[in-house]
Parts: sequence; structure tokens; C-alpha cells
Amino acid sequence: MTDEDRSIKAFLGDRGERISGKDADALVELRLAGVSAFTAQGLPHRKRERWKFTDLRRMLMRESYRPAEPARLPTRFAGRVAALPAPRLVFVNGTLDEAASDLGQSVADIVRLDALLGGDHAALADRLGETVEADHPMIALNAAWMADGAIVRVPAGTDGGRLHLVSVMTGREPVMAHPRHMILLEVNARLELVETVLGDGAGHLENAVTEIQVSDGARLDHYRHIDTPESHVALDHLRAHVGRDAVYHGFNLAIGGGVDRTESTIRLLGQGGEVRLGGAYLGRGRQHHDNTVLIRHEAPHCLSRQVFKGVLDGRAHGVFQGKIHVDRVAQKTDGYQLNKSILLSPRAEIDAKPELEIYADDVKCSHGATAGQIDTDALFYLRARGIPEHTARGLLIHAFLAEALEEIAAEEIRGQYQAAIDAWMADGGFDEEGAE
Amino acid sequence: MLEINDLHVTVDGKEILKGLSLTIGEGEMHAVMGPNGSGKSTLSYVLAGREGYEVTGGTIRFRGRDLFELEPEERSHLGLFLAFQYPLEIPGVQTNTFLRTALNAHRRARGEKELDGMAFLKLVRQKTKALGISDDMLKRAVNVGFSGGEKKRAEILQMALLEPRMAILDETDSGLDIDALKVVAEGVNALRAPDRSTLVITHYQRLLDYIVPDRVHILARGRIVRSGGKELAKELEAKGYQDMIEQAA
Repeated sequence: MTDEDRSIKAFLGDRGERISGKDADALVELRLAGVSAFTAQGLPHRKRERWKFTDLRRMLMRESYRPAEPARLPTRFAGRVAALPAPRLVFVNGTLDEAASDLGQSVADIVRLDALLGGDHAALADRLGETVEADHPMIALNAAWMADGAIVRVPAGTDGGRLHLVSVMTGREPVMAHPRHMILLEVNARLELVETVLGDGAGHLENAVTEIQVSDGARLDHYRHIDTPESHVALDHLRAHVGRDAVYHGFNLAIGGGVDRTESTIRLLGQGGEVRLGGAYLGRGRQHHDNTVLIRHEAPHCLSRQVFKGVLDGRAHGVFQGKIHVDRVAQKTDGYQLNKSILLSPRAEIDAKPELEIYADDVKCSHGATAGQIDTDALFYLRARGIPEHTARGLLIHAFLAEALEEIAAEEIRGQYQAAIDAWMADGGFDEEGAE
Repeated sequence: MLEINDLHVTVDGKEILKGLSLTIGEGEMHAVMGPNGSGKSTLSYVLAGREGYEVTGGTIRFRGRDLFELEPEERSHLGLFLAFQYPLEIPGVQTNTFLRTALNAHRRARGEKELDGMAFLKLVRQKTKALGISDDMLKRAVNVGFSGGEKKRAEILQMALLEPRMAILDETDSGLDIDALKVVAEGVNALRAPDRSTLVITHYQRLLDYIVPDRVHILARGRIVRSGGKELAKELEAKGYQDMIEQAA
């Protein structure tokens, strides 16, 4: 048996034979397509360009994951989940925990994935799968297994306020879950989506797909904080369509996690659209943080901006793959991309791959990537003023990450993320020797 | 206060200081003058504890302690202050935050209570007025976008806040026009005190018109070749380094 076959057997099993449903079940078709697309490829590995630095086959074959069973929210997370006063959806092992969820007064139209089968939501069911590519192995795997997820529709002209989407993987045996979320903002709608990714117990795998449609004139602010234990693998495949004069702002904070990869593919489909993506990744031990971004400018007069910053200690590994693609029609594109990392240990590593692919002739695009150590001159200056070395390093790292955190529009979220970063620093993330 | 005895320092395998000795008593102001490459900056960085300077011989005692046993921040807590020739720019760190963190680190080292934001602001406002430092400057990132004069005034402000026992001014006059020089010199003179010693390191005599030293030392080829009163600076101005050094040799 080849590695490829082994990975197909391990992750799909007899899933193909178990998919059944009524003829009208739109999900069946997607699931079966997922099974065949994954069977054609197996887990992606380092010989495939997009996974060169994040070899999922190697990383995922270390563990044997069983399909997750629904579970209740572990009580230790109750406080954490309630910390953000907002309507919330809590998914545990990929399935909605209704008791832990509280939609309160949310004006958004929120249903679960399986509710799409009912007559009322047929129109929404048609939109599922619209933003994703058919041949992506992990999205295909998600499709093959997808059973639950949040389907959020914010009606035209409505402000959906804030929605907290919590995802927790738990249990003593390693399990995998494949939630499929769809966020649909109709014309001129607004929403602030705050995601918190948590976990405990054994090393679990969450392979999520989040489909996003920001219609003309709408605006989505999307914050995501990955804070799982070091044995976990958190994969998110975010696919977004951004319409005319629509705005998508995203921020990804990766602190926990053994392996995490956030793949964002965002298409600017209407004139005057705007995408701002920010991210901060902090790693120590053998953590692996991957941000893979593709922004496709497919209409004129759009703006995109990416600011990703990372601090890596121990043997942590960061990956940033950021690509700005500008179609021939996308004149007057304004594209900007920045990735900077500080390596605190000689064994920490960053692979940065910024790319521009431009087919229009009247555009403004720039990118930059740097990796380096903490500025020893600045460190000496602070110490010469009596600031202890540990504090001085904290100040410099704080300052370094500030540029990325400034991308967060919501003050409350920025404060929470800053606090999470401060806690990470207080935890002693400054081991120069790379000892663990 | 400060006793440097037969100091030898190597940088990148090259000996820069070759047996430098210098003693500064409490409350005294000394000037070390020397041409480019004589070892002036090396002296100031070795005193402050910068990495990359290898001490191959000699001793430095500061307030009775062996300086080489102390980290840069410990030297600072003990009262050593280096006003940098080229103050570092630190993007993203607000000057206010920097000053407060430094001051509170000193207070903690002395076993005193840390100052809160309000108490700190009150204190810092007293000090900034005389130096012509605006509130706006305190809100900016440390030294980022500061003019040469602003940077030097910010150094003096730090000195005023930390109240060192031994201040070392490394080429504080470099890059300053005459007006900025006067402001800085006034700041330094205002900080003169019976329990505070000062070491002014400079290439030019000009600064010593405004900051008048008790003793002047001429540094050449890694050692003090001549010492005298403040009139030595005038003599140096008249004769030039070349003559003075040859005479001394």
C-alpha cells in the first residue's frame, strides 16, 4: 500500500458507502463529490507546492483519529466561552452543543447545517459549496464528513451585531471533526464574527471549512483566536467572496496549537471592494503556525492589505504564504502585503513566501517579508536605563506586534488579544538557547 | 565614586584601550577629550556594559563594587547613567511607557513602591518643562522622528528622572547647533549635585565652555596621556591634538 492509499484508508475508511439520504438531499451530492475528490489525492504532502512547508500527510499520519462523537462543553471552558458578551454558538467535537449556545437577541438567521435540507432553507442550501474549489483535498475531506456547522444569514440592510463562534475539541481518544460553516451577508448587511478555537484531552484534529459571502455594500469583521493545546491540529479553510463596495476584515491570532494552518482565499469580485487581513502568531516548543493567503483581485478599484507578524521561540516553525493575484480587468488595484517574524531561538524557523501575480498594467502593489532577531542595540539601550532584560524583551516584542494588532478594529477584541499575548510573554517565551 | 585601573579592552580582536586609568571622586566633573579613534566610545560602552567589548585586563570599581560583575540594568540601578552619542530609536514603544518602566524598575530595585500613571505624569511634567520637551514628544515612540536636539534633550530628561550618581555624557554635543547645545548644557548643569559625579566625553572643547569640568584628561591611543585642570581644554584648542599628544609622549 502506498502512503497515499494509507492516508485515504485512515481518513476516509468506508465513509463512501455510508453516505445515504433522500434524492433531494443537496448535501449528499457534496459529500459524495468530497469522497471521490479525496480518494483521488489522499492527504496533501510536501511535494505539493502549497503544502511544501506544512506536510499534512506526515503530521496527520502520526496519529489515528476516529470520527468525533458529539460531546458537552467541558466545564473548564464555560468561563472562557462566556467572557465575550455576545450571542454564541458552541460547537463541541464538530457538533453544536445547544445547552452551551445562547443566541439571545441575534437578528441573524442562524440554522444548523442539516437544517438546510428543510424547504425553508433550500435557497441557502444552493449556496453551499459555492466558494470552495472542488479539487482541494482537505476541503474534499471536510465535504465527505460534514455533518454540522453554523449557517448564518444576515438579511439585507441589517446589522447582525457580534456573533461568537466557539469550537472545542475534547475527549481522551484522538478524534477528528469536519465542521462546515457558511456566513452569508446580504446586501448592505453587517456582522462581527468572533471565533475562539479551544480544546483539551488527547491530540485532536479539526478540519473546518468556512464559506463566506459578503454581498455588495456589506461588511464582515472576522476575528479568530486559536488557543488549543500543543497536541492539537487545527485547520481552517476560509473561502470568501467579496462584492462591490463590500468589506472583509479578518484577523487571526495563533498562540496555542501543535499544528495550525489557516488558509484564506478571498476573491474581490466587485468594484471598490476591500480586504484587510491581519495576523499574529506566537510559537514555542515544536509548534507549527501556518498562514496561507490568496487574495484574488478580479474587479477594478479594490484594496487589499495583509499584515502578519510572528514571534517564534524554541523549535517553533512559522509559515507565511501570501499571494496577491491581480486579474487583467482589475485596474487600479491597491495591494499591500507585509510579513515580519522575530526568531528568539536559533532553532526557530520561518518560511515566508510572498508572491505577486499581476496581469493588469495600472496597479499599485507592494510586499515585504523579513525575519530577524530581537534588536540587540535597542535591548541594550533599555537595559542601560535599568529595565531588566526580560521586561525589555517584552517591551520590544509588544512593540513589534503592535503593528499587526492595530489592524483590529474592535477595541474590546484588541484588548483581549493583547492580554493573551501578554500572558504568553509572561509565561517565559524568551528562551534564547532554544531549550524546551 | 569611579576608579578605572589599567583597563585593557579588545574589540573584534583589536586592542582599543591599552591600560587606561582614571579616578573620579564624588561630586566631581571630569572631561575626557580625545581625537577620533582614541577609544572614547569604547570607554563609555564598557562602562555601561554593552556586549562585544572584551575586557582583557584591569579593573573598574563603581561605588565600591566590581563593575564587571554587574549586568547593564544592575549598573543602572546602582546609579550609572550613559547618555548615548546616538540614542536608539525604538518604534512602537511610547516614550512615556519607556520612561515609566525605567523609573519603576529603579524604584523596585530600591525597594520603593512603583509610581502609578498619574504620579508619574506629575513628576515627568516637572522635569520636561525646563528642557522644553512637549507632551506630544512623550507620546511619540522612543526617539522615532526626533531631531538630533530632541534626542539629546530626551537623554537629559531620562537622566533627570533616574537621578544617577555617575553620569557619562558621550559626545553629547555632536549634531547640536549652538542653541540646542545651550539647552542641553543647562540641563546637565542643573543636575550638578555634591553626590553626583559626571564624566563628559568629547572631541571638541566647545561643550566645555558651557559645562565646566574640574579635571580634563586627554585620551590618545587607548590611554590617558595627560591630565590637568579646565585650562587644559583651552590649551588643547590652541595647540591641537597632534602637538599635545606628541608632547605627552
